[in-house]
Amino acid sequence: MNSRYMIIFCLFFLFVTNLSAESSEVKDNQAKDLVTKAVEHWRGKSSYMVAKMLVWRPDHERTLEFSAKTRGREESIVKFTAPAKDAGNATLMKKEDVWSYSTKTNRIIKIPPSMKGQSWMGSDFSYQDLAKDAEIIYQYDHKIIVRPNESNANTTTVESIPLDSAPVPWGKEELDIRSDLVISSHRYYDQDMKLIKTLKATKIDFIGGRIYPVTARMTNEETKSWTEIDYLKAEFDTQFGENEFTTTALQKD
Amino acid sequence: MIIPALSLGYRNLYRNIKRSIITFVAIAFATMSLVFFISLQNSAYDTSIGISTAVLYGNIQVQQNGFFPDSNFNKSFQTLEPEILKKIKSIPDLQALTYRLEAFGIFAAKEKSVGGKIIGVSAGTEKTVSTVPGVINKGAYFSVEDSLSNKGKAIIGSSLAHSLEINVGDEITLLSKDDSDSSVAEVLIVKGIFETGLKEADSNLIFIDIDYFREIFLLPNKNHSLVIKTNSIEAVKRVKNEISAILSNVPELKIITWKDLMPGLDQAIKLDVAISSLFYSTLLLVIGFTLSNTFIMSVLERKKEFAVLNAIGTSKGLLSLMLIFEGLILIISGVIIGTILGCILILYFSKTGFMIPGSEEVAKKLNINSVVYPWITFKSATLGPTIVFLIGCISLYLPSRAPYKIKSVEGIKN
Repeated sequence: MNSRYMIIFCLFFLFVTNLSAESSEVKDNQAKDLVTKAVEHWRGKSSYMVAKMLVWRPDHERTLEFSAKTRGREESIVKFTAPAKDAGNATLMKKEDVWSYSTKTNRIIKIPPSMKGQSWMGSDFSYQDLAKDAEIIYQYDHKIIVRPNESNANTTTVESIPLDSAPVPWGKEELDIRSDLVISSHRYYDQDMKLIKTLKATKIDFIGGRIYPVTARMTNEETKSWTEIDYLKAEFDTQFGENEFTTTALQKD
Repeated sequence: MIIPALSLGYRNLYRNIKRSIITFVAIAFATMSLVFFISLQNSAYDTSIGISTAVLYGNIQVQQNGFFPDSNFNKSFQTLEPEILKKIKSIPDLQALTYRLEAFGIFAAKEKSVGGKIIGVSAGTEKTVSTVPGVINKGAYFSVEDSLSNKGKAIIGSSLAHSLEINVGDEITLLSKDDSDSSVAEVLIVKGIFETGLKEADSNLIFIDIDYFREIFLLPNKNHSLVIKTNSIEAVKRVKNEISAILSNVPELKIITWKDLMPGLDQAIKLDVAISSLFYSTLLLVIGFTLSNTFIMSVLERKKEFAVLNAIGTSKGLLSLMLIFEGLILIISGVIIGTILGCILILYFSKTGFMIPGSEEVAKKLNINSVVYPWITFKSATLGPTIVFLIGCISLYLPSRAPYKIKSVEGIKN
């Protein structure tokens, strides 16, 4: 009699735990799908952008202008057009690799993995931030922590925790994704779960035929310095030549 | 009363000459061991601190507040007024000083690239503070006479050269950012390759001329640190205080020592001192109990003698004083001879060097010389003997009280 109860209890326990695991998996997949769609919305199948970048520091500020091309999830190239001192400098991202080109030296440097946390062009963005578009989809575990509610009708907050193998310095990241797939805020936490920097969409508008964070500000929460990127022009799903995302393309005007 | 007590005490040592000699040898050996090991230990610490600080850090650094510990590039300071610098240079025990600037950057050559630190140095004065100019194993160091020729040249670590697969005369591309956060990109020619044996230095550092650094990083007349070398490690605290007094009107400057710059080394030394203190304490405790035992035994076997002496009119105070002198003669002579032998040992090893067997590998990893050439300081020569003397005095307390408990009649009967 006792053993019969025991078997029934075990089967019930297995059923409940299995159901719970399946439910958790479904939730994780939902979160991952949402992040994937948001990243795809941001980049499109391919995109061409013209933008202005303002780097603000307590004692000075400077403005740079650049054009950026992206293709798929893993290829991007950024070329600076102003000021004259930086015009021609370029950065290429392919998968996890980043190359930098300087007109002054006429040399292409591959950014070593250990230096990807360094500032990109003196801004509050790091090379890591530029290269990780696809990383956040594949190298993180995602979980929805806040669903749209009465106070925040159309935003879902996803907590993304990097896998042990992910080459990132963060302890976790949090993304606020609107129902129209615009990432309105992206918060970066260190290993002690201390907020280090925040990328916030300060202006969301139509550009290139889609709703988009046309102005985004990355704020360093420790120093309160910030960098704001203002997209002036955008084209999505454009066609690029085969050699647009190669180190050779870095040196072309 | 003192002279008779001293005389009696001295003669009593011959009552049991073997015991007296053994006690004397124990005191002398303990004292000698303490003098030798404390001197050896202090010398080893100073040697390793000297070696570690000589490569890069110096003993003291003057920096802008906020530069340390993250080497914050934006925290630089103007070159000090010549008068202030003159005052600092005139501090006794200050051996040399030099300005430096530094930045993090990416170094690339051919297909390879690594991250590291680029340091701007003054060719003339850097030699007086750092050992790097003396360990160039390929090429040459910066020219002191023709500073213009140093422009665009770099001295790089051997491991870095190996990682980038470059040699003297090859190009190395630098990517970093300047004071206004604009990117800095330069092509440098490798002039020399150094090898300090320190992995941290050999695989991460590139040196360029400080004026050239100021030019490319837009830091005219600026510095990140004034690196100071003192004549000895002992002088660091004194020199630091004097610099603090001179720079008291410049609150934005901070003075830090090797302890701040290399906390790991400081902690390792503190740990070693704590462990060896335990060893010394055990040794002293054994010596203390041995002496106490010897003195008590010599009193117990003479109970009848003390009773007779007391009965014929010798005061208990004189008997107590006699025992104290008996012990003090042994302790003082043992401490003096032990100190002399300890000093002779140190002097001998200061010429030949003292090597801890099997320590070569560990020493190499920790950048500590496995052969130590010890030296004596007043502190190392007196600390051990003073403690042995005090322990000996404490161990005399119980025996010296014994005569006061003697009852003449009972003592004679027994």
